[in-house]
Amino acid sequence: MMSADRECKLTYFDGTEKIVHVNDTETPFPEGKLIVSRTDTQGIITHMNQAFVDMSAYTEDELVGQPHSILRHPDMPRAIFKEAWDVVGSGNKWSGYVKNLRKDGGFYWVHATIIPNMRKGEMIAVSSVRRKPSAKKLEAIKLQYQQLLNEETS
Amino acid sequence: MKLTFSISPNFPAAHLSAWYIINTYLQKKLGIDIHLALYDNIDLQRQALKDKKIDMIYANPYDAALIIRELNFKAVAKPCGSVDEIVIASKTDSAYTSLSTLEPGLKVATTNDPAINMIADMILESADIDKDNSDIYTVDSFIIAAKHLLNGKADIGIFHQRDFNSLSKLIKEQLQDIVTSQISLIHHVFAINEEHADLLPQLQQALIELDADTLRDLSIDSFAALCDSETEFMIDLMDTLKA
Repeated sequence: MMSADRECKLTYFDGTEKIVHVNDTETPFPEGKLIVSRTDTQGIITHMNQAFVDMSAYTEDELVGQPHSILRHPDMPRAIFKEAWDVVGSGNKWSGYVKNLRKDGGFYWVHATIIPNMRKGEMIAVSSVRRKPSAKKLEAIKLQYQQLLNEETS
Repeated sequence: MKLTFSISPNFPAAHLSAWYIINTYLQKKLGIDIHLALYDNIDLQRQALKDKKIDMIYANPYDAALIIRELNFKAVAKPCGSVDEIVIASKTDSAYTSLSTLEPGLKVATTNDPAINMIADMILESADIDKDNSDIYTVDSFIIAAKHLLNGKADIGIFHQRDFNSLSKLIKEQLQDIVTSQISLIHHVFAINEEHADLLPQLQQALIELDADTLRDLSIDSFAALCDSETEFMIDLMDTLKA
């Protein structure tokens, strides 16, 4: 049964704000699937696979051209995204656990790897692969993220 | 002019006759001599590529970055109806029935196929299985991996889906599919060295026109033209998986 929605305000790094509706319905990451996507250097979605579409609950047409932050969940600490973009922006790989927001307000956890796609020394795009997270590692991450969130909101 | 054509060494021996037929077909269509060069393993083939001994290749997706970005091959075509997915399997009476039932300490039989092992690593990660806590060992062929499951030498085996599906009914009935990957984007690449790029349109058309009977033995429906942006996306994906 779908749990009740709650309204949350997201604030992005560029200062823009967005109201999202979230609920506590988790969609388990299907065994064997890998979510794949690519964005341009501004974080705009350009490519994806079907698993990305299925897990997000959006259609492909709704996703292409949108910022990847369309999946951002208010339970994710801002510090994690800052770290990810700082690492990738400096030309390196970032790996970490992310709680993503679905179109229907539900969520799903992933273990993400993000790399910059370099051509002749310049970043031309960003690719990401997300897979089912280890349940054991996720328990520790949830505690860590809650602490970070508390610090960000206090 | 004589060109050398090679295919990924990971194909089962049963596929070789179809590749010889395709080689002959391409010779006629392109009007040139083409020698089909087979290598025992991927390392020997990579060395031959670096030594410029191969002009055309049907390459494993793991090597797509090497051939396209480092060795200046041009992507020509991709197989339709044949993406590279993996099956992780156990013996039918095994307690290992899903990823969530796996525990560190496993004996895992696999083959020397880098693309398949890379995908398997990522999927097994969710069950906390890795080379540090389990015995992940390589055997010479997927048939041997299946035998190791049947005789209890291995707890689980890692297979290319194509190979798992080609196992005999007798063997397959004794195995269970724990998980099949669903990535959808990873596929082999037919490519030609840029020194022979003038042949690309003709080669691409010849591959697209290949008859379904020949391709059926390779579990391929047809070949389709491969554009640069699609190839680059797959290579970027492979780079992310390798990272």
